[in-house]
Amino acid sequence: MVAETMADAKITDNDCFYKIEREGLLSFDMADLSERLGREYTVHDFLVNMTSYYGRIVVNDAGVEIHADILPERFRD
Amino acid sequence: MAPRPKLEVVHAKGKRYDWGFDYARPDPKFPTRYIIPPKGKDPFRIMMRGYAAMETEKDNRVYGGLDSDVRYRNANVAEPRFMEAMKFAVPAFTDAEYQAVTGAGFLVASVKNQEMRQGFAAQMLDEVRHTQLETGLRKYYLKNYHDPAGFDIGQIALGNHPIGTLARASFQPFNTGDPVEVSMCLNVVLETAYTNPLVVALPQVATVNGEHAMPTAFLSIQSDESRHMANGYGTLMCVVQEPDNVPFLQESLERHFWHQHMSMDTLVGVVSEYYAVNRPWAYRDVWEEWVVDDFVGSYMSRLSSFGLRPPDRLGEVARFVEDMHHSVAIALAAIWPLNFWRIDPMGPADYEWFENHYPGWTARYGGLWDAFRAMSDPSSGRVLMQELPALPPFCQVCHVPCVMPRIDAPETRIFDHEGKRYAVCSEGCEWIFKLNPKIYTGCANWWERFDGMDLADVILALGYVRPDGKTLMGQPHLNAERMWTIDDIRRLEYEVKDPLKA
Repeated sequence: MVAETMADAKITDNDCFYKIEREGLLSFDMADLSERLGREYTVHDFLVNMTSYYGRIVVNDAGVEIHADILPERFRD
Repeated sequence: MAPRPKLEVVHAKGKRYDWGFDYARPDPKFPTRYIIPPKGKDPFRIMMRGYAAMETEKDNRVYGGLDSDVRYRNANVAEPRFMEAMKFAVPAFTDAEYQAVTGAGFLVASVKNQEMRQGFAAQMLDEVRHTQLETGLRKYYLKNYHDPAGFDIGQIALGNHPIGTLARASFQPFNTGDPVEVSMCLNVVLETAYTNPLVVALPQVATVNGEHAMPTAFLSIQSDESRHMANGYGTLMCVVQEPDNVPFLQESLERHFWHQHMSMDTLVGVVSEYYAVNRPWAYRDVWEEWVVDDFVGSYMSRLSSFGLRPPDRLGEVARFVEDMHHSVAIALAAIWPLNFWRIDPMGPADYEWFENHYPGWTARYGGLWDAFRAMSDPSSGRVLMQELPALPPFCQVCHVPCVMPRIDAPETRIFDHEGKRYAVCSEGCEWIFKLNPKIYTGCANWWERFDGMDLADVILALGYVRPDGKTLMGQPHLNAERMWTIDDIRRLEYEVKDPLKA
């Protein structure tokens, strides 16, 4: 999915984990992942598999986004 | 069936059921000097419905993995050199988790914001889970590794070890002091800057050395740490918006970044390079990637609009990272009778790797490792610590030996405070000491505790002997034969002397 939807992302195999990096935004859509897997894949399933991150994360039912911009609107209110 | 309500809707609704603090007298354990705005965000929007499901699945995977490791006898397939490091490294992790249990509970009681409290409540449960997982991991090692001596007393042994007290010194600030600075130390510096080298990069070293149980447990742990980083982010973004808080935040960042660097860069650097047969990277490069690029470059440096700077001592940290783990590794080898694990001497392939990755290593450290290897057999009748002109004192702040950054050119500072002599390893630790000396004057220097005792009696007092009552847990080699006994040590007639007493 990463290779198709975020072709400019850099994926590194670190033997027991993959590191995925991209300028600006990494976006993981749960509906897309579910369709590709042929079964429901929730944000909680995703977070069990996501070991770590850096940047600013946004979690909701639809997906997980990791932004390079660390000053979000939701923190400005 | 009606569709399940969206997470963000339930999360927003849940926050409306907040409660005030009028049911109990606000009496925080430690007061805060910060202005804390009554707002704060948890980026993960953690709710118990999702939390319980996630943690159940994670535990199923970790314990299932351990079951598989037992069946495949993985503990004895892994490199023994690496397994020996787990005897001190896992108890050090557990010290951190345990201190963080109380730290997260302290933050729940201190932060008057429902959304942040929910994040810290989940973190407190996580830290309990991590303590249990690591205890389970140690039990697995104890039952399945062919030389379990040291795994059985890991936690108490670490607390008594001359350099093991580094863990207590490093992790006590997780639950002691101003609540905002507790979060700065625990969530922002340790968990955001340093758990990635510690709990993501180090499992890669385990993997390439054939050890699979540690990565299974620790990568699962790190998936919780992700939320803890977000707790720190939420706290920092809340308080940094108040200009009066910024000088306090800067001081807190400086203090904790230097201290955690001293302990974590030492721990990860030593384990990943000196307890590995196969090395996937040089620690300096991993530090550059996770700490400089990711923590400083992608996080701290982007807060400049609030007036917050990256740590001023970043350049000094970079200078220390070149050498400090080499110095501590040989210091640990020199005091090997006081260890509760075994050290495999570095050999020709190791020398070549170090010289290729750290030019000048052979000239600086090769002779010391030659001497260590030459004295590894009890028939030598010598131990490396005898050959040193004097034992190094331990830093009163970070507890690493004062051989920093280079054992041949230490930058030790010795000074008197209220009638007592103290040593610190560096300018950074002296600055931290003088910020609040009361924090650092309460504990005795390790050498002071055993000054004047025969080395054999010190080992017996520490309990670092095997079940036969005479063979040492620590050994300067991995051979099953020719192990050192307490009688071999007694024949040395070596008296421990506090270097600060002279």
